Amino acid sequence: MILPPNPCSAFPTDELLFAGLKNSDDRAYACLYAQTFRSFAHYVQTNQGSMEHAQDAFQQGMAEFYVAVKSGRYQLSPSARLKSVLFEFCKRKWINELQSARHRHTQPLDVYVDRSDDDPTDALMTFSENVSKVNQLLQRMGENCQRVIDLFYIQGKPLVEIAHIMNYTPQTARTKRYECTEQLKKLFWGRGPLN
Amino acid sequence: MALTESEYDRIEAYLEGTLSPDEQRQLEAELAADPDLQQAVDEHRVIWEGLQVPVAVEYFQEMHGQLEEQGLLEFDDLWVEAVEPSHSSSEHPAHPHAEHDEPEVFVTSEPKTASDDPTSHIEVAVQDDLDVHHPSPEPDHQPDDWDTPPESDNSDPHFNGPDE
Repeated sequence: MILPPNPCSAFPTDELLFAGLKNSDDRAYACLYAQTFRSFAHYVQTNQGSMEHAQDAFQQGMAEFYVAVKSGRYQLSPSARLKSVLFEFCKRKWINELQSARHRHTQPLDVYVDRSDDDPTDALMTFSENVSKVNQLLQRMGENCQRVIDLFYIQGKPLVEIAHIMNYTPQTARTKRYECTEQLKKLFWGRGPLN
Repeated sequence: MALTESEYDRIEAYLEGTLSPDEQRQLEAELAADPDLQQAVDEHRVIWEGLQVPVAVEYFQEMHGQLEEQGLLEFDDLWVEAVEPSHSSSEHPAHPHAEHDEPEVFVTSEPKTASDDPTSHIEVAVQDDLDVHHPSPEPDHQPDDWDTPPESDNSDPHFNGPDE
């Protein structure tokens, strides 16, 4: 990935920036990243986190924002700048993380989140919860299913290569991909036990 | 209703946005006429989206490294947003090729720990108390605060995301 010296120069408005995001333009994401990260890092570091926490949390939030934009879950809001929405989204995720069991017993948390009825980050938070649930359920699946799903969806390997790695026939690899994804879907939507 | 095995590739190509326009129109017509199929696709989409995120995290880890390497994430004299060309009369030292860039936000020195005074290391043009009481990274500006793209950027290659 090689970025221009000023990734934002091609995006003089939020509308153009959003169009770049929809097209998965590296420069658009680099622009938004550079505009938002330092503020978020400062926020995390003044709210019980380290720079490493900030990086991890921001990259997770940015990744979820990327998928939400790509899939059409997030649409440009006329009332909020993109960098503000991303900051608020990552901030709410960080607050949730602080409130999780990992942090709950170590330090009290006194936070205030300013929300309006049509807060564009609400939909992103719902989206984020679904993402977490999918990946948590994946960890509860059988080893072979986890492996097939990881190879196919996350590592992006073709079924022929997955068949070779897993010692399956290509047709078996295809069927396993289908069955395992269906199983994950049933778990997510509460329609079936783990097999 | 579950998707059949034979429908998988087509539905995932639809979610990826890689169907041809004709194929997309055809599928959307089928979805409009078949609520069960629409629901099956909606349910599949949630799983598919969840599995896209770990891939995207890797993309942004790489991007972070690249931005850091190019000095765009430094905590010293960092440019973050372009401004009107007329506001800038000289090259920015961090970005000698972006003539009209002007630092909007300066942050000096290493970030402090949570126990430090959160207001002390912000110098210019940024909220000095970006704590839980403030929902946005900095005050919003109107679009006309942005720079116009310099001609040199027209030749920048277009980089695609990790899925393309």
